[in-house]
Amino acid sequence: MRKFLLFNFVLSLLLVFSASAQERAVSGRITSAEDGSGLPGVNVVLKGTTTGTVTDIDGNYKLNVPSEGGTLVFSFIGLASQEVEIGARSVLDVQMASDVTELSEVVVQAYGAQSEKLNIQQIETVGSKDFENFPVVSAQELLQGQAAGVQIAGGSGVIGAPQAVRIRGVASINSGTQPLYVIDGVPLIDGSGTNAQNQATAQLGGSALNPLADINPNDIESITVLKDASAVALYGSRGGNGVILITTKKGSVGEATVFSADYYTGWQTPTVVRQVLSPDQWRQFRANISTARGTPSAPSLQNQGGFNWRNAAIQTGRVSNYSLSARGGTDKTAFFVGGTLFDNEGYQVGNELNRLSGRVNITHEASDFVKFGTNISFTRGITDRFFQENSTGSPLTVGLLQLPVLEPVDADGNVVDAGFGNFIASQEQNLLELTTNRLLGNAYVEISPLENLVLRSDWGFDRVSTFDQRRTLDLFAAGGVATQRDFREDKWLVTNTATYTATFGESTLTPLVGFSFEESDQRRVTAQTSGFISDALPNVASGATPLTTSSQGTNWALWGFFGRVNYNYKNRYLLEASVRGDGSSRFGANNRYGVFWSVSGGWIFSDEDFFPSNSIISFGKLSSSYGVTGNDRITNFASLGLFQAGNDYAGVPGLEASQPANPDLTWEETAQFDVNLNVNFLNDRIRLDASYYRKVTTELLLNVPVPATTGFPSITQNAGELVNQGTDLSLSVDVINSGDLTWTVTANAAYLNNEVTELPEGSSEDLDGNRFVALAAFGQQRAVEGGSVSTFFLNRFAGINPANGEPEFLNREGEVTGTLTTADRVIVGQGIPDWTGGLNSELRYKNFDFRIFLNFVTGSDVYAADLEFNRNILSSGGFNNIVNNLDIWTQPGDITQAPALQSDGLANFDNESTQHLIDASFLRVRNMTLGYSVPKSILEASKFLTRARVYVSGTNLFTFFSDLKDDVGLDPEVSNAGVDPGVAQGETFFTSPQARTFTVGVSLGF
Amino acid sequence: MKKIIILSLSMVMLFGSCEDAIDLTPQQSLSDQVVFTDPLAAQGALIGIYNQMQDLHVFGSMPQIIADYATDNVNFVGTFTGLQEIDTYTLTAGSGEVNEMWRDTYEGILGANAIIANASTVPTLTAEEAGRLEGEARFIRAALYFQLINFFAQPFQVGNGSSPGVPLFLEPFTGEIVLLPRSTVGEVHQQIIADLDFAAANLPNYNEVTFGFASVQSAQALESRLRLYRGEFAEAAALAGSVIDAGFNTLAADYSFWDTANPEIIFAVVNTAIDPQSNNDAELGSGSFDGYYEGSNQAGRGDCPPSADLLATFEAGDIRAEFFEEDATFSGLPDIFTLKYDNGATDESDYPMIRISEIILTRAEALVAESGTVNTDAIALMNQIRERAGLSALSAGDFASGEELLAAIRNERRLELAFEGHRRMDLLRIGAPLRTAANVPDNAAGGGVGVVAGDDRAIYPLPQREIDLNEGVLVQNPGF
Repeated sequence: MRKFLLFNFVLSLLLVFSASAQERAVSGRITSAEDGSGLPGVNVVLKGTTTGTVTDIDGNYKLNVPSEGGTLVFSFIGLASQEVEIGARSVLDVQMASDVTELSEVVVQAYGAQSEKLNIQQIETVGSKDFENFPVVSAQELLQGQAAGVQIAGGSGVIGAPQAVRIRGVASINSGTQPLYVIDGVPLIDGSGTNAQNQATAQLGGSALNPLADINPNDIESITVLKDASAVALYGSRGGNGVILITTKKGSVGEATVFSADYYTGWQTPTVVRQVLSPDQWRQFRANISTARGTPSAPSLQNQGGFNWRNAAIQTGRVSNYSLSARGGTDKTAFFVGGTLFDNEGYQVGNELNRLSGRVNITHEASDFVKFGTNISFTRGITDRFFQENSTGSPLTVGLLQLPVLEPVDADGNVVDAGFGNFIASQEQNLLELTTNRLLGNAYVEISPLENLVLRSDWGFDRVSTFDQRRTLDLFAAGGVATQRDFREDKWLVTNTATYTATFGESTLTPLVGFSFEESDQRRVTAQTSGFISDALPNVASGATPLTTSSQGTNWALWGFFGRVNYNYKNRYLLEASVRGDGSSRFGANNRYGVFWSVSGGWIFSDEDFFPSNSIISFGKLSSSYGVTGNDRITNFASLGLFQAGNDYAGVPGLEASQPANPDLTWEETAQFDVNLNVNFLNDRIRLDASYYRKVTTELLLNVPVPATTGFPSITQNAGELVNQGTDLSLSVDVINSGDLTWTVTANAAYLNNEVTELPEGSSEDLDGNRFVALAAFGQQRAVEGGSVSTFFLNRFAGINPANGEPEFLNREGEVTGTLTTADRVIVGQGIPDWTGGLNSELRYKNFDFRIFLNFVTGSDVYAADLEFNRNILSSGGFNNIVNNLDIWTQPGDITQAPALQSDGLANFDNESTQHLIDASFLRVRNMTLGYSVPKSILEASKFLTRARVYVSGTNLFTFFSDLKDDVGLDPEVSNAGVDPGVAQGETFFTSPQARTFTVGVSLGF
Repeated sequence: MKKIIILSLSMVMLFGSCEDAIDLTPQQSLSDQVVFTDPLAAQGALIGIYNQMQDLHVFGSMPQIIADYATDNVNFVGTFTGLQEIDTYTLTAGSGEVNEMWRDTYEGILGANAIIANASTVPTLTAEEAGRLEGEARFIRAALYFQLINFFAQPFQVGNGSSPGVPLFLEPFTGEIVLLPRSTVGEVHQQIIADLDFAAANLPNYNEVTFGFASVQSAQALESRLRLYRGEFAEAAALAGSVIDAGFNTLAADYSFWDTANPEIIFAVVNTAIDPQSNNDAELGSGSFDGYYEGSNQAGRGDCPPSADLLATFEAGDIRAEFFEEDATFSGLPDIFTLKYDNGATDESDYPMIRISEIILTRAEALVAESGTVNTDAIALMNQIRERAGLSALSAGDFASGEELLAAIRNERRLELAFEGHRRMDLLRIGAPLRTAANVPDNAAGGGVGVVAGDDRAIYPLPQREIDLNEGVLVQNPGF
């Protein structure tokens, strides 16, 4: 295999050197008359012929022309065309001026780029200026509220927790719902193909690997979200959930070297934390329960003193970022070199991240027809962590549950491992550290054997290596326990593409063909021992009793070919067609290959002759696309019938049937139709983008629950159908643009309707005969045929009866009842929002800039399963209660939150019901920033600085919740299911709230 | 153009070679096609179902602590609301614990079915070896069905075994989903008896098997328990007698036999320190006998301290009354906990599923119940247990009637076998209430008082998940 690839590579190189030049070449760079930047995508045609080319991403072009005479025509939509006689020149640089006020920008596409105006794919781009110096750990957070139709459902406020990204809804019920992330052409390791439990990060402050956790946000030039079928088509086999392309910062040829230094520092607190009973409140509450129920209260409960465990779990966190970079280029070489140190001590005790990352991006033109480059980044992160929130290893969980009368030290001043755990001592003394090293990059060569042909061979790699070290000391586990887990995943890929540009008359035809091979290998070694002589011995080797020695491996591979043809007539009529065929190791022997495709068309109607040139509408484009994409997010060998080895009994090795066979297993398919209108008004001062889409996902990769009497919990099948349809809207307005004062407002909003339209025969059925799929661990939610993929199905809480203080519920018919049965559950809400969006306002006055950024979500609910604990009055001797429980019923007529302590239904009060279901609609002030740029006159006087800005910024400042009492203490952006699956979104179990951050920073250029 | 063709051709050559690259096989599993073609792999599949017995919701403590939580033996002081619902009798069919007991037990049953179906065709096995392989699988299947029927169906005494039992799946899964209605309690019992009889006829004696594996004695002992539950006292006494008379299993001299390979223990589910940590086991140490019954200062959870009623039942001088230690509950409050499971840090205590003490008491009880008189053989058997506990031997003169003797033997059974998963069925099978107003534990909110065999709440709901998936073929227990 590799030999063939090498052969292919060498062949490409041979082609380069066999290319001969018989005519003279003219080359040059097209720049913007406004700011001197290179203009990509400009058509360069030899007048009167079909010979032509387009400029590359830096504005460079090269064209073979007859040895004498000739005129070149330079044209680009939105720019004034120019005709220039070549004469005897071999270098012909041209400056082009725009004929409209807005300069056309370039958007990044799969395996290429395109001018924004000629682009007919549905793409959202968020540039670095939209997120620079946001105090975030991972890049997904930068997308929140910035792109229409892209929802970021923050998972947890723990540092580095994965972020659930939903592009135009949820296209899968219980397989992966996350987009494919591609950085500089390298699809990232994202944990797909293995169970979350097998990943290095499992059970520790996050349920899955965040593919972007080790990507330095400061290196990012732009984040591009590919939404419609035509945009994702070239990643078709994995594009069903959308694709996110990340482009890192690059230098430009001929650009003077610019050094940048950025620093910010900030303070973090949780957005909201629930209030629980104080020691005295708790003692009184327990005494009241004893009196009311006639049970003796244990004398041990009455000791004096106590401790505020809740407050001990939180602190003022600190975040600091130091970043230094240089970018620029000579006439042949361009570079970006940067390094960043990110240091974050979270608001929760025992949570720290120290991350050092570096990047080198270089491009070089070896000759007129050979160009090569590399992008390499290295990251080392050290995270001090705690166990996931559904465990007593999580400080805030313990802080809210620990009995307040327990104290962290005994009467003699010795530290004790109190109750649920003394996190103050354990976070300080126990070792729980994850060291991550990630090496990510690619190297490519681009050759032009013919003048309009570009061959590119791109070799990428991604290596994640984590070392997880844990050491529990004697105080917390007798004898102590040490655990070390070494995990690594190596991925490499090769992508060869050929792009040809043919220009004839007023037509441009750009075909692209490519081939890609990708494979990934994962290894994990775990060792664990107990029984240590001393707490000073950190490693597994020093323990006496081996508990675990394990080594596991798994791998997958994918290969495919792809092609795209883009046709453009008069820069006005645009057509595009794409296809990708893939073979994957993950699918059944009978159905291993899949072909995905798209077609799209666009019409720039504002350029038509009949369109009034001085109209209010300055630009108008109508486009539409249709295509089919796939999803392969299942475990690596889901199609095989397997007996898993390693199940020992009494030291004898065993095998256990772990998975039934399904040799027909194949890709999940999403067919997407899209229509889009793009209109600019008043010389592009107002820009409106509206699209409607309908995504129909069939052959769902569904873990269909089957009766337990099969011996299996579920069978992975291709079954069912899911529809996501909606509207994405974005609007940008240059409200004021006059000298000293500019004010720009951008807003986006997206409506989504998610419906499971079909579930397979034999699915679970509720009492109404509706088919559904649910997961055992998230029984409150289900994907219901005819309803949302995350429908809440619960008993309805009817409140406390004012007459007798009994907690009451509604039965199926809506009548009041005091008992709970599963038969009385009904559909009561959904975990997926219907409207999401954001508003960004940027105001500049002289040297001041002010920005406010809001985002909102409506129509979703959160089920707070943790309230089943904090509201549990009967078990308040075991764990602390929410302060709302003090609001008990005492006499007829009382309207209270909690029932009478002597009520018969007290044991039902806290049980699963809509009492714990909360409307999660919210409006959040995501960011406010005030900056001041030092005036040019002062900078010039320094003879050193070219740019200097200081700023103060606040993140997650205020949250306006539609339906939440403050004392319930719940952040709306929580999920304890991690990022997948779709059927388990919107549930929290002590999930840590998001952080509120205040930062001050300075940004210098020199 | 020629060059493009060459390039394209080279790409086409690549496509061909990529076919192999995506033909990958898993590294930690074997194909289901090969398991029963190899005697070692077939033996491995048997170990797999022994391993399944270790599962938390099979014989890994959850069903066993439920037997205590639902009765008068322990107080609920834990933090698992799913267990609190058992204590307060507010459980619904959506209960995760019930769901997992059903699911994990059937997983073991289907694993056993595959062995039973294939044992005779495994190459190179002798008839004796194949018989033993099948016998062990049948013993395990019997134990699994026995536990299921005890939780999900009314005791045999209700309608003489005619009430709905559980669906009887006896064939391996072929890929086609089969739905079966519930067989009656009697039918399930007959299948258990058939499996145990096969096991007893094909397994070696206790002294010939490695500790923790099935033997003739474990099959006979388990059947004696079933016969006792069915009120077939003559059969129960006879089977218990054969186990005792075989002589392989004898009462230990003192209470130091826990978690050891002692002849006191006829069959144990053997746990080792690596089991809870092993990622291949069904559940990752989220509960265990040590976890639930040992205090939190010794790395247990401390969820099951004895009830005041149990402690008050011990006679003065009973060594077993001292078989507790002071420690703390999960929430950090002081309490006392049994010493039967004392490995909180490693969760490696074995589950002593069948002890000779139980069989001695079974025979004693069966003899009295059968005869209805003050049976001196029964008193002698009971005295073996009493004397080891440091109590005086009793004689016929101490009992006014057979009834009184029966009550004494049953009380002895409660004290000797507390925390081993017996209490709930020992109450239900004799028609006694699971709890009385006098012995209902604190914090139970009065749950279970007066509940006897035949009451809806005496048993557990079939998991809602299974009802939803069975197209009306499975009928829910009344009251849920």
